[in-house]
Amino acid sequence: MDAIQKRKKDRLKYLLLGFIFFALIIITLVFAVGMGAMQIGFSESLRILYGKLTGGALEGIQDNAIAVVWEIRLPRVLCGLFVGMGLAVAGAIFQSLLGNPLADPYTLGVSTGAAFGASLAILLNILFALVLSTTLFAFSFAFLTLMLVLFITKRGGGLSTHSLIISGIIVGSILSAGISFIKMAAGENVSTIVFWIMGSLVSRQWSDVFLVMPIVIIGCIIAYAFADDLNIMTLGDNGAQALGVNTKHTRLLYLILGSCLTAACVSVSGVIGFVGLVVPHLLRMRYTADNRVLIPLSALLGGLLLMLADNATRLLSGGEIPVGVLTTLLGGPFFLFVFSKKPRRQFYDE
Amino acid sequence: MMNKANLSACLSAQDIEFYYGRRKVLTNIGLKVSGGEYLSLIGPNGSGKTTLFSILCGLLQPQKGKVLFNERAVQKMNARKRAQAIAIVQQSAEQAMPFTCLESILLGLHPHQGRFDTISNAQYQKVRKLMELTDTIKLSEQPITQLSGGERQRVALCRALVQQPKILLLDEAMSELDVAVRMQMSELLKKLCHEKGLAVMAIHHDLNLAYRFSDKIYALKEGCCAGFGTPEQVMTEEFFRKVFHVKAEIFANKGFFIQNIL
Repeated sequence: MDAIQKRKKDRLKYLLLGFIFFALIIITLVFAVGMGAMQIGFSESLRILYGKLTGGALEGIQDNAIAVVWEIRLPRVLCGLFVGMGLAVAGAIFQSLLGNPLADPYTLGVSTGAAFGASLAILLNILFALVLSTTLFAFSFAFLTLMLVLFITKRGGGLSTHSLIISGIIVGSILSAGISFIKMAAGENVSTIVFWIMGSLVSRQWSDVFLVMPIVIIGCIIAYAFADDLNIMTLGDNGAQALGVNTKHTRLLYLILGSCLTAACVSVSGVIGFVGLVVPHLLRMRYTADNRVLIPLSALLGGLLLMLADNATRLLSGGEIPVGVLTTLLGGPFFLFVFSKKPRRQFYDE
Repeated sequence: MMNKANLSACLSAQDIEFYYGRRKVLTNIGLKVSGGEYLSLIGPNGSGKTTLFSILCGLLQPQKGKVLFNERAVQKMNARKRAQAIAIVQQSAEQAMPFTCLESILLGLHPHQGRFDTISNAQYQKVRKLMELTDTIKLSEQPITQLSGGERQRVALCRALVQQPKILLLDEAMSELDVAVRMQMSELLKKLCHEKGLAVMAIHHDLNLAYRFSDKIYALKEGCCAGFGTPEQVMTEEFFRKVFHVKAEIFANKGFFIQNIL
């Protein structure tokens, strides 16, 4: 078959794949809100969700079942969905933008900034018996970190890929030293900080959903809208400019976009590893490097995988294992398996 | 693709002066290429060829002088409009992510596409034809990161043609092609010049290629014009001695043979 016809057919295949992921997300979501110490059946969960969404009557269903589904489980499940989406899309963005398949949402140190902010909030709360929001602290510090990285890179001459990565690493390591210092200062309360950093979705509330959801949805839409420009950026600055792309604006747009997504996700869930690295990478290896396809598929698969992983932690350990640990624990070997199965097809130069 | 009206498309540079910091790279450069013409830019390393190209396609701003595309200042053109008019192929044709050749070539349509436009059948047909002409159709499924240097250069050339420019700038774009493919691509470009009114401006280190295919030659040495005219007019024994410091034997209307370094 002709390559052009195949491309047209592939496009339909990707669309179908997207629908399958979407359907799986819905099914997983309904199952997930029903599972746990209080078992609620699939149809009952569905009825509760439907009734709540449409404002319909919920006769014949226990009030505590409704509360468990709507107030406790759904926020957590939705946080998992949107955090997974955001991280995977941020990963796809950073990999394309930095021209590096090993880049992930945390490459530029934004997550370390968030972790620093959260640790600081936890420490201050302990020391002065305050009730500072770790989430807001994490988000603000993540954003400040991005600004700092951009500022340092700009001073080093332009926003080149290499200087971005280097400034990210420098700022990141200074902040991790800061985190270590805070941990030390926290003394015996250090476990709160350690658990936060490990990444977990335990007892997330609607307020967390309302922070992460709008940022992730808007971020994904913008990332999709400018995906062609992002594709062209992989030709290098001169090549991209020759094709009429304003490289300066596009790079800044995607840096801010990727970092905002990361900041929102990390401030809600802590540092969850591997989703942002593996999901876009696998989809690119298996299907296509075209960001017009990669970004929406990454969003769907990332959301689905993190939701599944979080459910697995809930079921296996009653929520004892932080989901961030599980994603890396399972994701790492899986990635190795996939990677070692395809050694003959070398995709990247190095 | 390109109609008769575009035959008049023309890119001209007037009194260009350019400095990198305090170092003067180009002095008083004026040249012009019009639709249907193949102009080669030659000169030794560091003579300012690539800098001049960057200025011509609007990537660099000269300190003095101006570049005009059909009487409009290239610097002031909107990036998209400029990309519709002028395409440039650089020597290194690398792409960071494993796009297939087809996907990579389709990026050339970008200046002609709206943000959410899909590619029409007519556009696909044109792309297919150009891929056949540049012999890249058999590579279309391969990731670009796996190709050899020469194959990548063919893909880059094809992408630039898909861009449907009026002016095509080639910066050593054939340096890694073997001799037969080089001739084949040059002949293709010549044909596009004659039939479609494309204007080609090419930097060549392969002087034989420049001699054989150029309508005009513009020679640069240390940022100054060192000769302009038809290949026969420019490439004389004295020219080779002065500009390239080699001794050459000239065979009238056939070419030249470089004997030794002076």
